Amino acid sequence: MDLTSWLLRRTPVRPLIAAAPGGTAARLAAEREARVRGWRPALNPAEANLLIVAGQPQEPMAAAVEAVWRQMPFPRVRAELLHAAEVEGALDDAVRRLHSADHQRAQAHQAHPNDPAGHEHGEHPDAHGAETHTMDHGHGEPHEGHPRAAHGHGDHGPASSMTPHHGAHDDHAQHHEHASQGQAGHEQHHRDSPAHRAEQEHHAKHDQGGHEHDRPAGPDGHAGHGDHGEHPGHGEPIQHTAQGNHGGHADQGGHGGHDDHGGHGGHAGHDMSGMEMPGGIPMADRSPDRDGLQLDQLHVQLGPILPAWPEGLVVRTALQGDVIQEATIDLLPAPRGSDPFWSSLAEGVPGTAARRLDSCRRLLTVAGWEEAAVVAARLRDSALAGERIDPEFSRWARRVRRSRVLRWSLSGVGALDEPGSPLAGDAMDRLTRWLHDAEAELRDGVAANAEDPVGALERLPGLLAGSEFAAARLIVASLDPELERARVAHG
Amino acid sequence: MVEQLPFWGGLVLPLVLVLLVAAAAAWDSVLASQAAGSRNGALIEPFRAVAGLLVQQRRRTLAADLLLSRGGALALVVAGFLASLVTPLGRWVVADFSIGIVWFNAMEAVAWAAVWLVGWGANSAFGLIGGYRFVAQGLAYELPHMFALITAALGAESLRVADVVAAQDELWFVVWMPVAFVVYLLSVLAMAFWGPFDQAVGPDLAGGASAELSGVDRLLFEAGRWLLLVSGAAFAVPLFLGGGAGPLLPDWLWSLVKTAAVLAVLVWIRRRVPTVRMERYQEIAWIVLIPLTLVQALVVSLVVLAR
Repeated sequence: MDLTSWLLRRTPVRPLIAAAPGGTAARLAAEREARVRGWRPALNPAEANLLIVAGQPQEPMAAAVEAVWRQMPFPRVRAELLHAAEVEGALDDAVRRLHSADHQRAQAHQAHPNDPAGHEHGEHPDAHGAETHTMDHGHGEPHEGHPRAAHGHGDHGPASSMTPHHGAHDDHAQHHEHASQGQAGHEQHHRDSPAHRAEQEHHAKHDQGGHEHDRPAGPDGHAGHGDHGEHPGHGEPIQHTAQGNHGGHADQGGHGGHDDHGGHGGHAGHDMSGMEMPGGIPMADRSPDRDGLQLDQLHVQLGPILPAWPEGLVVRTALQGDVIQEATIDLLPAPRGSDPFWSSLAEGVPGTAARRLDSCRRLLTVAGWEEAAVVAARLRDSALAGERIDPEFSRWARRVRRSRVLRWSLSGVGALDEPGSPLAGDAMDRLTRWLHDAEAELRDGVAANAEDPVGALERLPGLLAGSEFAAARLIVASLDPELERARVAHG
Repeated sequence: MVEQLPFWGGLVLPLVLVLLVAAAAAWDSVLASQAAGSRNGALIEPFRAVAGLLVQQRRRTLAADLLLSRGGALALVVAGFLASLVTPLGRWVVADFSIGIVWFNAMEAVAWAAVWLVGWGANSAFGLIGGYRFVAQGLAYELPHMFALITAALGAESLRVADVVAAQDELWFVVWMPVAFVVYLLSVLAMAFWGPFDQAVGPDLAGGASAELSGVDRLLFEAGRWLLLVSGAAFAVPLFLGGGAGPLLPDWLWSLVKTAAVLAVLVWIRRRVPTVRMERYQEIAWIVLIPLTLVQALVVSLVVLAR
């Protein structure tokens, strides 16, 4: 028995749950099971060793899942859960695979049959069980001892020899990998969707100006970027990135709020020709900040796979420091014919209370109160199982209401001056209303089903613009739009 | 009363600190599993976590500054150990510097740089924000913290930790410097980015400064964080709680018991209180805590002058 297998068998499971739109039932079952088994949830792919995919991801989401999967270090396993009933068995199986040295080695071997590096690294092979696409070789998983060049494509043959599709995919892979960088949002680059291009730029630091030097036209020349491919020394990834960036920018221009585009001309004044692109990522963009200074601007995507984040929501942000300058939102599609989970619960289950507890769990998690969030999750699961939660619920609700630090942290965040609306007030008001709704249903059986997911989505970009990152996460969590219903409302 | 150990003291110190870290992590894990209503062996979970991190692949991000990010995690561990060089265990101390309090403060200030380096080095937007949050946090906690340390030094009229302990023969400093004691504990939480001051590695940032760490790097980072918390808790004992003084038990055991008690409270606070956002704490720190600690220092210096 070798030491590695011995340690591996003792590895605690750190699940990262990627909930696809329409996968609420599976997500709840997985969260419950993980909690009961004493698994502490991972906050990011780096920490995770079990990727739980709840529901059936449709295209952009599926690519996001792949991206997160590639970012996860070895040892790792993936469990795909479609129905709540199969969760227990699927997770048992996942744990078995996680703790099996043979499985982990075989997986690595299979993914990298020709890559000696994969073997050298023993238990740290570069594999992502990703069903062995050849192009997976394109992105060196960032592992120890690999020459840096592995991050470029130099050693895997030119991407141009692949089919365009492969080339593109390869590029994506490259991105996610590293992009942990843009890990923001855990990197999801969907291929083939217009969205994907915008996303490429979320590779955080990119500098529009960085491309400026060999660009023939002015700011409107964003389209003319094919020539980046020929740019020597940048390696393969850049071509795509560059195009992605520009796609993204054009996109942003469309929002009107990006008046710094004109400003890029000014950047040409920087010594761009000498500017290195570290690791092939263009440098950060620049634009004036709220105090009128020229500061770096990053494009960061939040969601769809992020802790305590509404399923299927994607927020694209332009960040300066930790201040969000502008935000646009996207809803990822759900599979056809899926019913909104929360409105199709069985008779007798306090659905509103459970839904409110789920929202509370998210908000409390983002507010950094792990304890209260975990209790909310436990109460939610009990409520869904049809158990009485009353005495403990009241104790918990009292504690949440009375927490001065929480009030201090939430008050004034995401304030909406719309009396009578279910979204009115600030984050603390909305939390208080949730507690009240849940209480009313548990005590009197009256389900106050006042939610306005469409309204929440409409207000989100305005609320997010100008807020600091921490506040932005609280705003999203305090609105917690039920996207499954928003989609229905949209038709 | 406090004597410096020969060289092997430096070898025993890490063992003692690691034991305290293990105990604190196990306590934290038990509290967590109680809240979650889970049925698994919470006591050994931290040890399993170490096993898991030892076999986990080290990953790195594109264009990461490995020297900075890995160096940062290592610096956190080293600073955690070195800070405790001047903390007496009963009557033994590894290094009895004449400026022990300054040494302690200098070591924990290393954490400032270390966390920022880890966040910055990963070349990741979340890491970057997390790193800067910690710098902002430092601006909030460091000054009140220094005034709290200075207050204890004033009371003893010395920067040597042994003198501070000796000065508490009759009355523990916690009794007549309660403000400094509370502020000290708050800043220990803040410098270990623990409890309500964990915004630098918060869940809203998917782990913030530590978002990209895996394997040994994460192990070092987490260990460094625990070491800072333990070192901070242990230093509260000679500073405010009379060092190893106490009835019946030997003085080294009293030191350990007091340290464990402080540590237990610090770990437990995290369960009770949500994260304090830095821009809010900044106000409190500068408008309330700094004046309070200054008044406390003034009172102490007047007492020292008068007696």
